[in-house]
Amino acid sequence: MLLYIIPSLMLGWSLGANDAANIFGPPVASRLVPYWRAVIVSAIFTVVGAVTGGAAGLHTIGNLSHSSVLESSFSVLGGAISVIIMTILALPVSTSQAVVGGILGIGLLKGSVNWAVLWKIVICWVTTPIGALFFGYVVYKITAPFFSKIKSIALQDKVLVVMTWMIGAYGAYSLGANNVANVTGAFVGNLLTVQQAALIGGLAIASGTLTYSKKVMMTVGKKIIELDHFSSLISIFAEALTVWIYALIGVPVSTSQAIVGGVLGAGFARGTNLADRKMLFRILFGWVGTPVIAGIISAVLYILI
Amino acid sequence: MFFFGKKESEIIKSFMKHLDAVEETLESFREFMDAYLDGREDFEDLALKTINAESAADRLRRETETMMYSGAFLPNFRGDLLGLIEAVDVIADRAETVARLVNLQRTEFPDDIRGDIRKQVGVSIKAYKALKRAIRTMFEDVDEAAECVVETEKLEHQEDEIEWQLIKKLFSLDVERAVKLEVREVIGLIGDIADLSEDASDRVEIILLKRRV
Repeated sequence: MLLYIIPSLMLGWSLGANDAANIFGPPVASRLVPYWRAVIVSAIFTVVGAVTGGAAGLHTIGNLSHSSVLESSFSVLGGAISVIIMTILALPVSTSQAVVGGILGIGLLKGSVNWAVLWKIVICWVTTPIGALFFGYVVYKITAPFFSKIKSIALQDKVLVVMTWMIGAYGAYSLGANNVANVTGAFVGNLLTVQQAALIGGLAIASGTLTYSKKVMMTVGKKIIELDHFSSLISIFAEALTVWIYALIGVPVSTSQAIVGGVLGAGFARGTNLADRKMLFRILFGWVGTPVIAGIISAVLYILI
Repeated sequence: MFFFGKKESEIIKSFMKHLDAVEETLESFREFMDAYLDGREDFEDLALKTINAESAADRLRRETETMMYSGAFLPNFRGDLLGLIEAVDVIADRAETVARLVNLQRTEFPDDIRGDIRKQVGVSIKAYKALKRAIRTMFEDVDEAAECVVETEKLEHQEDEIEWQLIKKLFSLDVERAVKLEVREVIGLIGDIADLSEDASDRVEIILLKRRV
């Protein structure tokens, strides 16, 4: 059993190392909260999210294609390899899209793709940045007047720190609940129960966050913190809310795309347009390029082996 | 102050002491200028008093900065505060420079402009006091601080008008050109007190703007 799920553990580790940055990146990079405390809180809430809120997504990915344990393992391996290659090539990559691509690669070869589930997933991908943009805008508009009523710098800072921990914990919970399906979803029904998949997947993500998330946090964090503390927290909240909603619907989506939407939304609410062509390219590439590459890799691996 | 931690409260206290020390330097400088313009004999003592007050302000600045490096406040605010305390400190430096210069050169201020010089010194110090209020209120009420920033700008503008009128008047007088140039330099340096106060108030404004949502 362990051999089959090694690709999942690899993928979970890389997901945790990369995606914790979308939650605690800005506050850690700007030293609003210390790195170690942030990753511990993130790891705990990711596991809690996976175990208590990951079931719906695990079912969806489990039902995307009817495959054997070996096929599932190759699908996840295809996704994991494409994530690694694209990270090395510095191409935008989302684990959600890579895993779905990996499953589709083999599913198409065997003609076992559940198209209804796939459409549901694709619609959710497209609406992820749009949804986060909407939430970023609305939440900013609602909360900013309250925050600006705080006249004391000291109280403002206290509120920001408390908000960071609350939103960070919620974001980590959403990440675990939503993204655990990417890690172990392919094995639900053929190797693992939902509970087992949730726990193993959650722990794998948490291990990545705890051991290797600092570098990405600093890179991602510094890009987002071009916004002020308050706006970047609203962006993270919008991301967490969007990803959480998709966890309830049961579709794993990209936290990286959600945070882009959140930043744009909060930016628009402040009267600044932070969108550019590069950003649009990254999002489109995530929807099309990533699953295609992952699909090709998993299909080739399956044919070769 | 209720919401600040112990470290932060101590830094704010130290920062306020520094603001007081800079004000003391400026008040000593005013006394020096009054004595010098009145032709009193104690002007040298008062120059020394200004120099000592500036040294005390400098010490307090260093103490406050060392405390800030210990990790109080949110990091981005810490940087802003360090910049601000440096900006405030140069105001005392400038007052000291004028006191030293006038004392050493024995600058000959023509009688016709002595009253205007006193007025210029007064408005410059007023600009600093408005800045001090802006910084004091910044920690507790950002709106009130913003009003004090505007007040500092107004006073700087007022000083600027006085300065140009003064230079115009100086160059219309029947005195040697060398005296005119020497006095003009001193007028410019006194004007710096208001200009530097306004520069520091710009920093306060940036701190406030950064926090505006």
